Amino acid sequence: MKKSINWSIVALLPLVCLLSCGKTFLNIKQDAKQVVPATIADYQAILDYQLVMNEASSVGLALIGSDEYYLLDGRLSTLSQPFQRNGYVWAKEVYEGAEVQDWNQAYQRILYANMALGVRDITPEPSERQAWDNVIGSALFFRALNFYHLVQLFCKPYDPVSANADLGIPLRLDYDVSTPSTRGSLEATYRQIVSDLETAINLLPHTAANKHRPSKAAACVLLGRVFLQRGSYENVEHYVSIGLESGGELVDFNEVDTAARYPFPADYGQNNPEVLFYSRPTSLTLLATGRFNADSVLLKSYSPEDLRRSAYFYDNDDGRVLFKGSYLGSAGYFSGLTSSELWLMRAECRARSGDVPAAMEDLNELLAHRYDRNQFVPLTASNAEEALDIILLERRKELFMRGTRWEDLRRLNKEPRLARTVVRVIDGQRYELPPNDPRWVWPIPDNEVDLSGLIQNAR
Amino acid sequence: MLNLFQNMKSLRIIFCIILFSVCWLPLSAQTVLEGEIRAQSGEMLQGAGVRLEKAARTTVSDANGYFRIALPSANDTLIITHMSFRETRIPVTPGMPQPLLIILERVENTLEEVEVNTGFYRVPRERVTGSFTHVDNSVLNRSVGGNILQRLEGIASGVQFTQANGTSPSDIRVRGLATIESSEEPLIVVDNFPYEGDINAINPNDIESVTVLKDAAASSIWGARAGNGVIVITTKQGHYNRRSHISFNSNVTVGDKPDLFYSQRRLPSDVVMQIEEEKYKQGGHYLPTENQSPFPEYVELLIKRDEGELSEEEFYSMETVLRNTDVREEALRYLYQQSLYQQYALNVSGGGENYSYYLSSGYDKNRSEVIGNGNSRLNLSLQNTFKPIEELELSVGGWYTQSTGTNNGLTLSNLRGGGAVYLSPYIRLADENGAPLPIIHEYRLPYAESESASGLLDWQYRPLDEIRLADHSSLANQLRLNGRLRFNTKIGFSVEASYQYVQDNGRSTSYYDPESYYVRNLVNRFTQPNGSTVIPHGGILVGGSEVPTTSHSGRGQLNYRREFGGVHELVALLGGEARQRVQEQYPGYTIYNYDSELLTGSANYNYTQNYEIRPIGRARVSPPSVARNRYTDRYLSYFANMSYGYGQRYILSASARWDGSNLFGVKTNQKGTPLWSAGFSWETSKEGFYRFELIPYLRWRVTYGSAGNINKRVSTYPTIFHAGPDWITGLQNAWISSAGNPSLRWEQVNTLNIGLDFSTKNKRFSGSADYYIKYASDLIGADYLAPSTGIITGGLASNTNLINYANLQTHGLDFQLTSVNVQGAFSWQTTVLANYVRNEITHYNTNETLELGSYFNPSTTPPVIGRSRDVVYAQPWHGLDHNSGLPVIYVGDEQSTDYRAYWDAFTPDQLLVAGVSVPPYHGSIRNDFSWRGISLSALISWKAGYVFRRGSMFPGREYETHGAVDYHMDYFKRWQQPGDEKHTNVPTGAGANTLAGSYAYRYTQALISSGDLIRLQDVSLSYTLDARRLGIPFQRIRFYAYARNLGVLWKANRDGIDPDFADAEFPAPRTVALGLQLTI
Repeated sequence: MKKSINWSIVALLPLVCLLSCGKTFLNIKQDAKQVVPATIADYQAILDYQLVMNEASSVGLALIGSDEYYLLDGRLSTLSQPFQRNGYVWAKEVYEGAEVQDWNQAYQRILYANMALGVRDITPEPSERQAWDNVIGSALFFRALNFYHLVQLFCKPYDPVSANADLGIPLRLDYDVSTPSTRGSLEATYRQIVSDLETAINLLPHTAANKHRPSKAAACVLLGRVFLQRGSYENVEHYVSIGLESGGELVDFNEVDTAARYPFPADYGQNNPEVLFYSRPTSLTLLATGRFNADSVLLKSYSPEDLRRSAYFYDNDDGRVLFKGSYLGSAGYFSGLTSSELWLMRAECRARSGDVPAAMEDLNELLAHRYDRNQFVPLTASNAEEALDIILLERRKELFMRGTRWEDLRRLNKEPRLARTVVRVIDGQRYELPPNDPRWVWPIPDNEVDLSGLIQNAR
Repeated sequence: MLNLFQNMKSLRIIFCIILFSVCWLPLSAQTVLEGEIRAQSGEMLQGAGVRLEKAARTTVSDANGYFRIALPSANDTLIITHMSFRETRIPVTPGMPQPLLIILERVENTLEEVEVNTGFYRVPRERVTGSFTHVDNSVLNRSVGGNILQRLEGIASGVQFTQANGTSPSDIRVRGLATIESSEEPLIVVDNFPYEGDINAINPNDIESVTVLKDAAASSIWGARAGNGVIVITTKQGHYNRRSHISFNSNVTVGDKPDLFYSQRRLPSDVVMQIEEEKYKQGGHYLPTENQSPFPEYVELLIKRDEGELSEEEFYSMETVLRNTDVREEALRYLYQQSLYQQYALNVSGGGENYSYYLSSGYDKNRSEVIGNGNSRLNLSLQNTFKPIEELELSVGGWYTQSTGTNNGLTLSNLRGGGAVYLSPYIRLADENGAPLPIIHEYRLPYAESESASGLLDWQYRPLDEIRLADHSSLANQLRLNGRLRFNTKIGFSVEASYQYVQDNGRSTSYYDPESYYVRNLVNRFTQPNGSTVIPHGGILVGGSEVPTTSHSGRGQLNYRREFGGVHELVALLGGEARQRVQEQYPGYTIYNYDSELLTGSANYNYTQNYEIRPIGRARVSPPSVARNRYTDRYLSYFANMSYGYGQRYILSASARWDGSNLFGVKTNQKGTPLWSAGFSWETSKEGFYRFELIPYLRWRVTYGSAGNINKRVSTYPTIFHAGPDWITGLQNAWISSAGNPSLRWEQVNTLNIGLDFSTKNKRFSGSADYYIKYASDLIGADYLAPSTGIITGGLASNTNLINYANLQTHGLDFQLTSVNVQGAFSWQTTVLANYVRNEITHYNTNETLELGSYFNPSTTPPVIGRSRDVVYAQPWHGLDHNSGLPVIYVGDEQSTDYRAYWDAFTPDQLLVAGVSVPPYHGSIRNDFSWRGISLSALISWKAGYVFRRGSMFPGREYETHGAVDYHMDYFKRWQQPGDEKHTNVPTGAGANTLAGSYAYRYTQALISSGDLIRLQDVSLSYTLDARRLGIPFQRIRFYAYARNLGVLWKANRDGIDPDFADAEFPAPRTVALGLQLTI
C-alpha cells in the first residue's frame, strides 16, 4: 500500500509542473509581427502605412464628374463599373448597389488616424515630444483630409445660411466599430475639420521626413481649401501665408525636359520641391489612356509660350490629346498637395479683396515658373473681376486632373457670375449638370444607407 | 494438399497453448495466476475476458495482453473470451508453472479489429460507449496508392469526401459540418499526437489502422479541436517474442490519359473561327491597345489578308490548317501521357523477450499524367521498444520522409493567351516535323514579330520548348521522432510520459534557361528605348520562400485500472499535454544572370529605379523577397477520462478536458475552454430476461458531450501588424489587423449520439446504427459592418468583423451492415454503408445585405436561418421567348426585356432553393469474395439528394472583348429560330444582349441538375499463395490488382456530366495497379 501512494505522487508530478507553468506558457504572441500598439513608433508606423494612407485618395468621383476631359462615342457603355458609366453623365442611380471606394477608403484612413490618436494615452519623455507631436498632428491631418474629401463628394456645397440644417458626413472620432454612424450638420463637419487642422498646424514639422507624411505647409494648403469652401477669404490668406513661409518653393518648368514622355521624376514627389504631400487616386478605366481626351477648350487656353502645354500633354497617334504631366512621373494621376496651390489661393483671395497688384504678383510668381522665361510677360488685370477671372483660369490650367476641379465648380456655382453648366455629349445624347443641381452631391453609398440607416441625399 | 494444410493448422492451434516459465520473475506466492494473451499474429490482446469457471472469478487483459487472477485452490478451467477470437478453455491446477502464454485463434470473417485507439488509450470495441469507425489493416490494404486518407473513401462510415478522390483533410467531412467560417478539417492524429504536416508524407504501407472518432464521447478527449471529428492513424509496431518477419511490397499503377474531350466548355475550331470573324467584321472588338494586348491567331490572319499582306490563296491554306486543328488533340499528343505510379515498401519486424522493433523503408515514384510533372517520396522508419524490467517499457521511434517534385509540365489551361484570346481551339504545338511552334501569349503577334526584328530577343512563346527550358522543382523533408516511457505497477496504476518532435521543411526552386520565354520576355520588357538592356540575357534562378515548421509535444498521463467484486471494472486516466508549433518563414531569392554550371549569378540591381518598359509603362526590377515571419501556436490541455463497467452489461463513461491556447489578445482567463462528455451503454442481450434468439447480440449506446473548434484569426484587442520597412519610404510601417472585439467566445460543438450494435445468429448479419445531432454554437463569422466604421470589404482589418454570430445544427444517421452471405471454402460477404447527414442554420445574427451575385457563389452565400449551409439558390426559369430566343423574365407581373432592371429588382427572398451542393445521402456497397486464396472486392459508392449548377453558353459572352470569352458546347443547342424554344433552354447566341445571359439564364433553374449517381469506385483482386508448400523460402506470396475510377454506373443528369467533376477539365482518369507482396 505504501508503494502505491509513492507512485501516485510521482505520476502527478508532471501534471503539477504543467499546471504551474501554464500561465506563462500561453503568454506568447501567435504572430511575431502582430502587436497591440503601445509605443509612439507603433502609432507612427500606422500612419506610415502608405498603401492605405496615400493611395486611392478619395477623389475618384470628383475626377469623374468634372469637366476636364471627355470620352468619345462608344467608349462609355463598355465600361464595366456602374459608378464610372453612370458617374460620367451624373445619372440619378450611380452605384447600382456596388460599394463605393471613395467612401470606403476615406473611412479606412479615418480609422487608421483614429487608432493612431491612441498615442495621446502615452505621456512622452521630453526627448520623444517631437515624435509624439508628429503622430498627433499627422493623424489629425489625415482625418481632416479625408473628412474634407468626403464632404466635397457627399454633402451640399457650403452655404452659411443653410449649413446648420444641411447634412454632413458621419464624424467618426474614435476607432470603436460598435459606435453607430449618424450624419450631423454640415456646419459641425466643417468645424471638426477646421479644429483638427488648426491643432495639426501647431504640431506638424516644417519639413516632413518624406512626402508621404504631412507637414505644416501641407496642412496650410488643406486649411486654405477648407476656408475657400466656406468663403472665408481672410482665413485663407492667413493660413496660406503661413504655408508659404515654410513651403512656397516652385519648380521652374524652364529647367524641366518638357518634351520627355514623363517630364517629372517618378519618385513619389521626394525630389519635387513643389510637392508638399503625396497621394494619388485609384486608377479608373474611364480616365485611362485608352479612353481619355483632354478638354479641348481648356487646351486652347494654354498660350504657345506656356510650358505646361508640352509638360502636361502629348498628342496621341489617333488624334487624342492625353495627359502626361502628373507629378507621379508615370501613367496615372496625382492628387497630393503642392505649393503652387498656395500661390493660387492667395492670389484669388487678394483679387477678391480688391488688391489687384498683390493678387497679380502672386500669380506671376507662379507663372514665371511656368512660361518660357525668354517670352514671359507678367500678366496684368485692370480690375478685381478681371484679375479673379484670370486667376481662376490659371488655377484650372495649373491643377489639371488633381481632383480639385469638382470642388471649385461647386463653390463657384454659388456665385452667379462664375456659375456654369457642365455639358457632356456622347453617343448622340446630351447631358447637362446645371449650377446647384442636386446631382452636384453624389449619393451616400447604398450599403452604408442599408447598414447604418443614414439619410440619403436628394438627387 | 489444402486439407492437409488446414489440419496442420488445427494441430498448431491445439499446441498453441504454450506454457513456459520465466526464471527472473520471482513468483511471490502461489496465490495469483498470471498470463499473457496473444493473437496468432503475436499481437497483444487487450480486453480479453478471463474467467475461472468454478471459482467464478473474472478479469480482463490489459494493454499488453497481460492478466492476473487469483489462483484457485482446486483444479479449475480458465475460459478466455474475446469478440474476434474463438473461445479458449485451459485447465489450470494450483502450482502450475507461470506465467501462461495463451494464444487465441481468430474467428473467420471478423472484420472489426478488437481495439480502437483514441490516441490517449486503447479500448476493446465492445467496451466503448462512443461512436467509432475502425478501419483495420486488411481493409486499408485492399486499395493501392500513396495517400492514406484516400483509402477511406467509401470505406469509413460517417466520413464523407466532398471532393471525389480527395487526399487532404480539407476534402473530408466527418459527420457533416460543424462550423461556418472556421476550419472544417477533421483533426488528424498520428501515433497519439496531432499531426499538422503534409498527409502525403505518410507512407500507407506503414499504417496499421485508422480510427475515426465521431461523437463527443469518442472525440472530446481531443477537446477544442475535435469539433470536426478526429481521424486517428496508428503506425505499425514490432511485437515481443516474434521471429523476424520481412515483408516486401511493390506495385505499379498506370493511369489513362485524361479525357480532354470531357469538358463542355470548348467549341470546335471552325465555330470559334466563325465567331472571331464575325466579331472582327462587326468592329468594336480587337482594337489595338498600347499594351499590345493580343488578338487570336485567326484574327491576325484576317487582318493580314485585309491589309494585303496575305494573298487569298495563302490565307486559305493557313485557314484550312487552323480549321483542321484541335488543341485538345495537340495537348493529348504533346502535353499529356499515361500516368505511372511505382511503389516499393520493405519492412522488417520482430522482437525478443525484452525488445521489439519495426523497421521500414518505402520509395514511391510518380509520373504524372502531365508530361514533365512527377514526384517521388522516400520513407525510412525505425521503432524500438525495450522492456529492461517487467514494469518499464521504453519506446523510441524515428520517421524520415523526403519528397521531391518536378513541375515543368504544361496543361491545357497554360495554353491560354491574354487579352481577347482565351484558349484558341486551333493552336498547334508542333509542326509536321515535331518542331515546337509558337502560340499567341501576352502580346499581339505583329508586335512580338516586329520587336524581334528590330533587335530585341525573340519574343515568341513556344510551349513545347518551355517544358524543356524551365525547371521547377521542389524538395521537402520531414523528421518525426518520438519517445514513450511507461511504468506499469502491479496495483493498477501505470504512468506514461510521451514526447514527439516533428520538423518539416521544404523549398522550391525555378530555374529559367536563358532561352526560356520567361527570361526573353523579361529582357525585352526592360530593354530601354536606346536599346540598352537592364536585365542580362542569362539564366534566372528563383528560390521560393522556405517555411520550416518545428513542433514539440509532450504528454504526461496516469492510468488506473481495477476490477473488484468480480463485476465492477474501473478504468481511468488523468493527464496533461503541452504542445508548441513554430512556423518560420524565410525570404526567397531571385538570382539573375545565373549560370547553372558554375552556380554563379548576381542580384545587385537598383530596385527603386523606375525603368521604361515595353510595350508601355514603367516598372521596377522586382525586388528580392524580404518575407520573414514567425508563427507560434501553443496549446495546453488537461484531461481526465473514466469508464466504469458493471457486470459486462453496463458501461458508464465520462471525460473532461480543459484547453488553452495562446490565441492572441484574449485575456489568459478567457483563453481556455472546458469541455466534457458522458456516455452510457447497455448490452441488452446479456440480461437474464433477454430471450430474442434471432439477435443474440444487442447493445445500446447513448452519449452526449462537447468539443470545440479553434479560430486563430480572431482578436479582442486592437492589433497592428508590422510590415517592415516600406519599399518606397524606407520607414517602418504597420497595418491595422484588427480594431478589436472584446466579446468573442470560442466555438463549441455539442453532440448527442444514440447508437445500436447488433448481430444475428452466427453473425450472419451484424452492424450498427447511430443517430446523432450536433449543436454547433457561438460560431465565428464575419459580420458585415457599415463601411463608415473603416472596416471595409477588401480591407486589411477584416478580422474585426468576426463575431460569434451563428448556430448550426447537423443531424444524421450512420448505418453499417455486414452480411455473411456464403461461408466456407468459397465465401461472400457484403458490407453496406448508408449515411444521412443534413445541416441547418438555427441562429444567425447579422444584418447582412449582399448583392444578388453573392448568393450564387458557395463561398459568399450568406447563412440563412432554417436553410442548409450548402444551399444552392436559383432564379426561376420561364423558358425562352418565341420571337427573340432570349429568356422570358417578369418584372412585377409584366413580361419584360429589361434584363438589368430585372436583376436590380430581384431581391434575395425571391430566390428559389434549388437544393444542396453536398449529398445528404451517401454510402457504399462492398462485396468481398474469396475462394482458395483468391479474393475479389468491389466497391460501389452512391450519392443522392443533391444538385449542382451546370455551365452553359451565355448569350453574348463569346463577344466579350477581354479575357472573359466563354465557349460552351451548348452553343449547338442554342435557340436559332422561333419554335426552338420548345426543345431547348439555351438562349440565342450571336449578337444577343449579353446581360440576358448573366442576368436571366446563368443562375436559373434551367441550369440546375441533380447530382445523384452510383459509381463503381474500385475493384481489387488478389491471389495469395502459401509459398512454403512450393518449397521456396517465403511464407506468403500475394499477387494483387486494383482498378480505381472505373466510371459512373448511373447518374441522374442527362448532360454527360459527372457530378463529382462538374467543372473539371476532365474526370479523374481510370487507374489500374498490379502488385506483389512477399512475406518471409
